[in-house]
Amino acid sequence: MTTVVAAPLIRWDWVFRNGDKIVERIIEHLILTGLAVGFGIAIALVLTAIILRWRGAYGPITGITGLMYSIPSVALFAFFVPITGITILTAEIALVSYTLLILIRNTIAGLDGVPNDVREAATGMGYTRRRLLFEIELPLALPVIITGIRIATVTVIGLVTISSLIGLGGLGQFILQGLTTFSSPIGTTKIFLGTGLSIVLAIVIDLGLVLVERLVTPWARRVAN
Amino acid sequence: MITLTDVTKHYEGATTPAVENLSLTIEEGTITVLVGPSGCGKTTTLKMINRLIEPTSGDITVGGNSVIDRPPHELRREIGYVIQHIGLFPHKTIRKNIATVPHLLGWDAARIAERVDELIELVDLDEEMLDRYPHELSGGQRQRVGVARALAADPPVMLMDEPFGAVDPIVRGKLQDELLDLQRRVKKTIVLVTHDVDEAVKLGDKVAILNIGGVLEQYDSPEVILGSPANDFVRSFLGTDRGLKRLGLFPIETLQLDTGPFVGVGATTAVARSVAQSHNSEWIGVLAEDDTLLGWSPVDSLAVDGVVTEAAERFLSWVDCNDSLRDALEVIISSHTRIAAVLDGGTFKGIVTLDQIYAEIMT
Amino acid sequence: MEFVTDLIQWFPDNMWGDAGIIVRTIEHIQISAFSVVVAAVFAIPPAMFLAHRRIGAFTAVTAVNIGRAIPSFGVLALALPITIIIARNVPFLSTGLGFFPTFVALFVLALPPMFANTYTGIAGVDADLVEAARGMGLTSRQILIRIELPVAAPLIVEGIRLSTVQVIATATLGALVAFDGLGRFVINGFSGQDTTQLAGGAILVGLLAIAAELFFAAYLKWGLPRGIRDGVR
Repeated sequence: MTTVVAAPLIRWDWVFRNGDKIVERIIEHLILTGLAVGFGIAIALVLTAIILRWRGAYGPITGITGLMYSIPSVALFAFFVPITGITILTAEIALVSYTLLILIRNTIAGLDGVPNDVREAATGMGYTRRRLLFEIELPLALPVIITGIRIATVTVIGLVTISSLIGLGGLGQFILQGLTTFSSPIGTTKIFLGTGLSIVLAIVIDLGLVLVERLVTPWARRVAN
Repeated sequence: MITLTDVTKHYEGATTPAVENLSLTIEEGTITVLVGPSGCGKTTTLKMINRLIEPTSGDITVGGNSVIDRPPHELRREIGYVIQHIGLFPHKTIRKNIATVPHLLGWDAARIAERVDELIELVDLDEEMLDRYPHELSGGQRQRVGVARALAADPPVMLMDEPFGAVDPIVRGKLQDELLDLQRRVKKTIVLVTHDVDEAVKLGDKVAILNIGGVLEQYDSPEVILGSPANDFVRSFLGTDRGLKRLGLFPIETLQLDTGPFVGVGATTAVARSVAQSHNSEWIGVLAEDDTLLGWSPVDSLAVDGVVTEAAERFLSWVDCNDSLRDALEVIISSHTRIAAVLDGGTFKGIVTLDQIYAEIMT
Repeated sequence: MEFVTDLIQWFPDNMWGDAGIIVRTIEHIQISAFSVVVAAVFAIPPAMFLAHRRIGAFTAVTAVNIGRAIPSFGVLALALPITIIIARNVPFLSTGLGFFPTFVALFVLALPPMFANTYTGIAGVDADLVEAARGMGLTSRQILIRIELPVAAPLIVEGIRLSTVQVIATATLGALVAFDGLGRFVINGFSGQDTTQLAGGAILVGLLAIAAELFFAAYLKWGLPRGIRDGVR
């Protein structure tokens, strides 16, 4: 057995020389993620409103979004390239479709989780249907809704890397470039960099959302004495 | 204050109506209790008053106006509502919870703040509770907040659905006493649903006993219902200790009290002996100069010639004059003396005997 | 319109042969199944043991979160240089390309969902149930095998499902590191700008993923004992 690695796996000097490029990729990554989660939330809100109005729509809507969820994103990217071209739209279609099921299911679960006695007391004291939803049910469902947003965001951050295959991809570009030059130390550096930063980004944003949750749900913070 | 006229509720898909042709008049300023076995439609009846459940037919009026003509949410803001699990809003502080209905009615902040302070005092809670969240309170405290919240906009009517069902028996008794005390001050028209006969008898000025399908079997004061049940259903629903329950309704102070074998401290033993003899008693009770109870001594142990001094034994069989005849009976049958001394805040008033209680049962 | 007719024609034209749809599908299923099975062997027993002892709850939660944050594409790319280094040092592994790096990546990605679901499944078994079993004299091992495992079965199967679907998706990317499978059509479509092949490959991958979903959905619905499936779902 001959020995080990000749070159280091990560060339830190390359990393430091390319700081501006790295920042640029991070920003791209954040924009792709933000757009996907933003549009995902908007569409999920509309679909959730439809479900709240017509409860029977829950099955069909979660069925279809569930199907979209289980189709691999790389397949969606590939499928839409012939239709929508190598554009940001192609990437976003795949990414948004991935978020819908998680967001809708958590929002509905959060609303269903509101205790019945709270709902009954509110109605009994004269809340209208609309005020009940906005002043009582939605605030109480917030933790579960935010959990949905957290899962969707973290998942999308990972998936965005794959959109490098169609020339986008933020940090995924490093991974793809690294793959084409994988035998060189710069290649492995790029792979590590792309993967590592994607993970760090996901963790940081997840923690940020945890912080947001704590800020908007002050009642859940204090422990019973 | 509240009238139900031929009210029927037929749930879709059910073979028989939950409530059928129920008519009931609920008087202003009283506590009316709806009681009955499960399936008797008592909760359905209650919820039809604030239209959480829509009657299939018939009419309900509150304060002379039909509830059917009004938007339900406006109607409900004028009717206090307390449920078993209270349903405090977990995401709002106690202050905001109590202010719910005033907030819905659009009161200004100063008026709401003033009202909240009044209410927290009314239900005997500490002001520092106001900025806590519901999960930081005990079950009993939450229940009081629920009552304060229902009273917030000073509604003339309050509906209570098994309000004490979820707390332990000791707290329940205390909360019941508090409700009675509160009612003496606020004089609301309260309709309360329970499945517990004892609670119904204790709290109700009037009790409506309902049978399966919302059939009104008897509607009267607890004294009348316990004394002369209308039929076998009512009799069996009240249980075998109906007579005892009824005794629980009469306070001792309504009785003509006997003086009993009691002498003041410092009386001669000869006088003590003759007092005991005239009451056919083997013991003599001893009172202090301010008529408080010092204790008792067996007649045999009195000195042949002297004065009654310190009593030998502590006097344990006593009741307060506000207690019920049922309490007196309990004391009598578990004591040696076969009587209960009646005290008014510590001062000796006389004694109550088994014969007197028996005479009361017979009336 | 021409695209659609081309696409429909593409399937029969490419069905057979060494690089045809049948062979690629079998390759895809092979590596997916192999990776999931090996990962299951490494993930499920330790999770069972730890959850039975009620230790390592933090690890389970972290496994879910980290598992979600790891980009599958990155893991696949990382597997390449790492397996090359391994191959250089282990004589009988003549090449670091193709199957081996793809397998390593899929294996790593399949671990967290199965570990986490097995853990939550077993740790979540009603404490009364366990106490009753202990009271009747079942040994610790019997409690795990006869009580906790069957009750946790739906969640464990759910974990295997999550892993499998993710593995099928990521196996597509294996074509980037010289593995074949259905990803070959997609990646060749990308590099050759052959939209027919690209879309055809995408449809096949999608169908395979949905087939796997349906397989597990069917198993959860009909494959479990009635008391478990009705009671837990």
